[in-house]
Amino acid sequence: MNRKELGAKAESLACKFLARKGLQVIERNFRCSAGEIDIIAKDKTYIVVVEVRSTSTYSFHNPLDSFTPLKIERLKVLAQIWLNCHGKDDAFIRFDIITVVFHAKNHNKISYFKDAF
Amino acid sequence: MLAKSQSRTIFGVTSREIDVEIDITSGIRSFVIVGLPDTACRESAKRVMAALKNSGFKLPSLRITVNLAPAHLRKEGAMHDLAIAVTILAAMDIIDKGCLENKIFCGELSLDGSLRPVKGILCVADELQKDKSKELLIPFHNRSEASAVAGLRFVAASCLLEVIGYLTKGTKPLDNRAYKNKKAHLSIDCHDYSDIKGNYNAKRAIEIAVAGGHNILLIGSPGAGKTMLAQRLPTIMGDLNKEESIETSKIYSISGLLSDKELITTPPFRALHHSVSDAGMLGGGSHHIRPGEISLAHNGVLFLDELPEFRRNVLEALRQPLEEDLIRISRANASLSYPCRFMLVAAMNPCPCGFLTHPKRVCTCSPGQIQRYLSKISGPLLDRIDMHIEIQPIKYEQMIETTSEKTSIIIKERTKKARSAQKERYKNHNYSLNAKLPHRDLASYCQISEGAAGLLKTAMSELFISARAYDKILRVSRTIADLDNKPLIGAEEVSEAISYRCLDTKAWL
Repeated sequence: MNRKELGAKAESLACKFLARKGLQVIERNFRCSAGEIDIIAKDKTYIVVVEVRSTSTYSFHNPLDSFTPLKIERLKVLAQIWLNCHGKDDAFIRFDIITVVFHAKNHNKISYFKDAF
Repeated sequence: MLAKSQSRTIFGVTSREIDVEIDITSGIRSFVIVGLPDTACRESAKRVMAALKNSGFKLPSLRITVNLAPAHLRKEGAMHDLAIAVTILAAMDIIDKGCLENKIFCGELSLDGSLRPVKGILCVADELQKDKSKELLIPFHNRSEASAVAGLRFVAASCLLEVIGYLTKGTKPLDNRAYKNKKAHLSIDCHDYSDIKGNYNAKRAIEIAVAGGHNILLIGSPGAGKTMLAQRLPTIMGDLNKEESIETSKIYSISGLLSDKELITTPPFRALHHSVSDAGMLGGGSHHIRPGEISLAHNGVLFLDELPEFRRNVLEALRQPLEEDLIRISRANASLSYPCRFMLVAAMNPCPCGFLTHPKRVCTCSPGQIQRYLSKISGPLLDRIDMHIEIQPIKYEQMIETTSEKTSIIIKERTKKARSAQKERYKNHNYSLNAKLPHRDLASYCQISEGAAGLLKTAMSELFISARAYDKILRVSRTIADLDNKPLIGAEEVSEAISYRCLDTKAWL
C-alpha cells in the first residue's frame, strides 16, 4: 500500500470507529482551496471536525507529532469555511483527532482524542 | 450572551475603575482579551479557563471576547482574572448576572482555582472606602491590607468556588482559619546605640537629625563607625502614625512587598548599594512604572553608604525629589507621581584612601585624586544636606570603657518628644518637621536670642557661610532647641548647629 491508500484506509477505519461511538458522519474529505477536512460528524448538538493521522509501522514516530500548531490553525480556518458553507455559523463545534497505527495482520491500533484543541 | 462586572487597575498610588465586559458566542474555540492588556493580563485567558475547568465548570467550545474598558488605559498584571472568571460564568447563565452588580473583583487565579494575592489592594481599598455602595472581593492573602482600611465592605476568599458561593448563596468564606499575618520586617531590631562606644558627637548629631528630619552626611576614615551609626537609625525613630503608615504601605503594596503581611508601622530604612540605577533609585521602567527606592523610603530613611561611589546621574537626580517630597515620572505611555518624603543619610570617606582626616595615619592620595573623588558629589546636592559631621576613630580608652551608653530607647523618647512638639507648632501648615520649614516661615518660628544673632553674624563673615547654609543652621538650631524644650534659640544651639557644618568650615574640601 502506498501512502494515499494507507490514508484512505485509516479514514475508513476512523469512520467505523466513530459510528461505533454513536457519532453520525455527515461528510468525508471536504476539500477547498485552503485544504481538506478528513471527516465531519455530528455528536448530538455538536459539529465534530475529525482529523485522521496514521502511520504504517510501529516506529518511534507518533502520528500526532506531525500535527503542528500551524496545521491546527489551518484546520480551524477550514472548519469555519465549512460552517459558513452550510449556514451553521453559530453551531457548537469540536475538534477530535483519531490516530491509526497499522501493524501486521490487521492488528491496528486506533486512538481517539476527543476535544483535542 | 453578554455580562459585565467591575475590577480595578493600579495607576501610580491610585487605582482606576475597569469595566470587564464579556461576550460569548458558540463557534470555534477562541479567547480574546482586548483593551490594551499587557502580557500577564493577556495570559489570564489560559489561567481563567484552567481555573474554571478545575473548579468543576464544564464549558463547551466557545468564542469568548473580553473587553477591559476604558480601552486607552494600559492593564497590567493578573489582577482581572477573578473578574473575568465570574463574568464568563454570568454570561453563560451559570450564575445570576444581577449578583455581579456593585461588586469589585480583584485577584489572580491559579490553575487549580485558588486565588493568589495581587499587588496594590491597599490602594484599591483606600479609594473604595469613600464609596459605601461597592463591595470588594479579594484574595484571602490580601485580607490584612483591606482590613486596615476602616469602613470598607470586603470579602476575602481563598478560591473561586468560595467567591461563587458568596455571590449565589451569600455564604461568607470562613474567616477564622488558622492564619497569622507575618509582620513586615523592615528594621534590624537587634542593633542598639548602646553598642557604639565613644563617638558622642556623632550620636548627638544623629539624634538631632532624626528629631528634625534633617538630611545628614557622615564623613570619616574606614572603620570609624559610619555604617554602624547609620544602621542603628531605625531604632531611634518613632513609629509611623496611621496616615503615614497607610501612605508608606501603599508604596509597598504596589511593589508587591506587602502581600501576606501587616501594614508597615515602623519607618522604612532603605540601605542601597552604590550600583543602583537611576530607575531603581527614582522609580520608572518603560512599560511597568514602579516606585523606586526613594519612594520605598517614604516616611523613613534612605541610607547611601559610600556616597561618591554612586553614579553621578543617580545622585544628581535626587535633587528635585529632596526639595519636593514627590517624584514625577513621565514616560511615553504614562505620567505619574509617587510620594518620597524621606530623610537622606549618607556616609563617605574624605578621600579615596580614606585617611585624610585620620589623626595618626598619613593619607596617600594626591591632591588631584582627592579633588576628583570629592567632585563626584556636586554642590547643589551638598546644599540639600543640612548637617555634615566628621567621625573620628575612637581611642583605646573609649573602646574598653565599660560605662553604659545611652540606649536607643532613651534617644527614641527624646526624638519622639521633639517631633511631636514640631507637629504641634506646624499644625496649620503642610509640613511637620523643622527640616521642611520654608524660608518665609523661618523668621516667625526660629526666633533667636541676641547672643545667637551676634554669633551668626560672625560666622557668616568669618566662615563664608552662604545664605542657604544660614537657613539650614537656623533649622538645625531650632531642632536642638526643641530637643531641650526651649522656645527661644540661644547662642549655645546656634554654635552647635554651626559645628555640624564641617564642609563649610573645613579647608580640605
